[in-house]
Amino acid sequence: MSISQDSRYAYAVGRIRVLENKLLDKTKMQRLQNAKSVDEALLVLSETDYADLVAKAPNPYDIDAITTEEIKRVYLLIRELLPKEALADLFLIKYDIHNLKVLLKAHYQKKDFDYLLVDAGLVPAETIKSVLKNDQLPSIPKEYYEGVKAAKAAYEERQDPKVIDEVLDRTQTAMVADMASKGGHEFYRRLLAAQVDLVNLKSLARVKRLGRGRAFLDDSLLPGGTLAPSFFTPLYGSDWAQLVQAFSLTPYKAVVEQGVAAYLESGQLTTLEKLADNFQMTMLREAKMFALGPEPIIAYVMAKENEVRNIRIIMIGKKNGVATAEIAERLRESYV
Amino acid sequence: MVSWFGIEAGMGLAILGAALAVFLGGIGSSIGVGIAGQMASGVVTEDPEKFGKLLLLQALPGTQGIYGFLVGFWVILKVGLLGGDPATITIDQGFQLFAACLPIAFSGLISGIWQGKVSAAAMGIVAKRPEASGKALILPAMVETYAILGLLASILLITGIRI
Amino acid sequence: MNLRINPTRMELLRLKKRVRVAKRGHKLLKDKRDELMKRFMALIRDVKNMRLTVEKRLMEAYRSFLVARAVMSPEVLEEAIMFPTQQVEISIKEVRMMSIIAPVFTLQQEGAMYSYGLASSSSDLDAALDTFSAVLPLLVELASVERSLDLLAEEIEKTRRRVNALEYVLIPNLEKTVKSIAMKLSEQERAAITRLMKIKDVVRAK
Repeated sequence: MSISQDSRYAYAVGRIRVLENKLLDKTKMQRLQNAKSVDEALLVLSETDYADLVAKAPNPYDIDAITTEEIKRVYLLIRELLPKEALADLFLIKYDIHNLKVLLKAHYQKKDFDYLLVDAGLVPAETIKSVLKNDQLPSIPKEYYEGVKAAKAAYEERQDPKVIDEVLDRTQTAMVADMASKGGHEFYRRLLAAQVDLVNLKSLARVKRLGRGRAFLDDSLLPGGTLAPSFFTPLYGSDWAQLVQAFSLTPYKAVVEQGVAAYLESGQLTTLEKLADNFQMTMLREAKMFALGPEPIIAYVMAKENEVRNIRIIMIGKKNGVATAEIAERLRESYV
Repeated sequence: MVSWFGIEAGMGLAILGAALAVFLGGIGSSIGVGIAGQMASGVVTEDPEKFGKLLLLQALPGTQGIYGFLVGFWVILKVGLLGGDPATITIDQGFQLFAACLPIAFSGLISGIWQGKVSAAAMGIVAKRPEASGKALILPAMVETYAILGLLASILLITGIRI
Repeated sequence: MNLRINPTRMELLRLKKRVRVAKRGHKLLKDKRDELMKRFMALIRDVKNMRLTVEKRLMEAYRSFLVARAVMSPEVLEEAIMFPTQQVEISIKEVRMMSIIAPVFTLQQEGAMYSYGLASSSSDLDAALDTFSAVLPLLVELASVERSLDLLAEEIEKTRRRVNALEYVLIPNLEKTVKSIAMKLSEQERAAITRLMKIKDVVRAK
């Protein structure tokens, strides 16, 4: 890595190294998990980096508000740390894509779903909305505009709202991969490719479980992973043992083996999904080996996204009286 | 006495050597200290209490510049520029002095940059595990070895040269 | 309470007939009530079992939904399900059972249930929708059976009120009136006899 690259990220990495210490580690997660009530869990949360947010929240029981606030704070921090970099953008595209999905679906239903818009993306939700409404597509990033056009065409042809999701998910993957390549974030590219593989694996398992047919699978598969969609398609017809066999030469061997075993026992894909997320987390931990450069920053954001999700799983579980063991089953490994 | 384009060639080479030692060592150090300093300011922003430990780590890549300056100074002293009574330097001696400056010039440049990187990495350790600060200090200090070897070689060579 | 009726022989005959009719009606209604009760008891056991199953399945559905809700962020979850494509139609048919008209609902689910892309949703959502979709026909069936049960209970209540009215009010009243008319009539008879005897005595004394 060049010197300019190093010095570009040195300050940000310095701050991130300290902030990493404030991520919730296993012990804290464990305590949160073992809390007997929501109030007790909130108390545990108040001893962590979330104390401020919990104290300031108008309704501390509204965990979604707290987690949303926290993750927004992280994105802002990355923007502030690297004002000239598009690094934060990598993580923000998904919010724009979400808004596009909401607006398109609302448009075809002729209903108002504005409360679902999330104002966290690259383009303010209001802008996207007015652009779509007035059909001034060219004023948003070209990829979005192409994505919307493709999604509209697909929906009008098939009259099925899921194609909107599928087309825009593909737009998102392609766009993020492209940005990561342009920014020279090889580490993130690899993470992303693995993520696409794992999403495809999950889709394969889900379509198989639901028995929705090969066409449904074909629609759902994302390109851009290390395994081509054509690797997944033939596996739809094969049985689970063959599926495990097919993955035995990929890095996802363990994920598939254990995930499928758990599925055959319980009929649920929860374990597979969790293992897939944990696989990504293991990859993410490689960032600890990088002393300088963008990797620790990317890893921090993703670790935070993961942490926020774990907290949400725990708190919603606690609020609704889900057994601790059942919560634990769904928690993803944490970064630290 | 050889003169190139009317310049006294021996003296010129000696001064070039001294200059190389000072500015390459200086470049190495400033890049190293720069990287380490940015990292340090990042850490201090979040955790001001670590300033003391980080200062030491940031200063480590600074030594190359000092070594370079030392060698440069030695050469200047040797050729008598400081006393206002410059010695007569033959072109052979000029080349010798020039070559004697190279070890610290290059080892200073490269080790300074890398020491800066290792220091920055060590700051990561200090930030994450304050209890391992001692170990963190050793890692960039290892890089120092090669700057010192360069310095040693340069000094030995300079003292060995007869004027 | 006596009925206010002229104590005549005609009236007596009429009332006696009414008593007979009332008694027969009472027996019939009682039989009907017993039969309704029998059906009610049978049905209530079914309904109880059904309700328990439905509640259990609904709990499962809610739980998997809850998990989906926890794993996905609220906006993403709602976005996934904001555009439902499945149409559910309920048609009502009426079925006569004894004297009640019970509704029977039939459910028709049309179209694909999964109206979202897989990449941004969790398999827990599939599971939740699956369970909900499986529980819906049961729920509708339960509704129709519970409605029949309601109607049956109402009918039993009505029949029982009638039986009781007959048994404790109408029949005793009628019988009492019959008795009092009979008494009045025999009283009149006795009075007439006494009068005749008195007249006979007076005539004889002259």
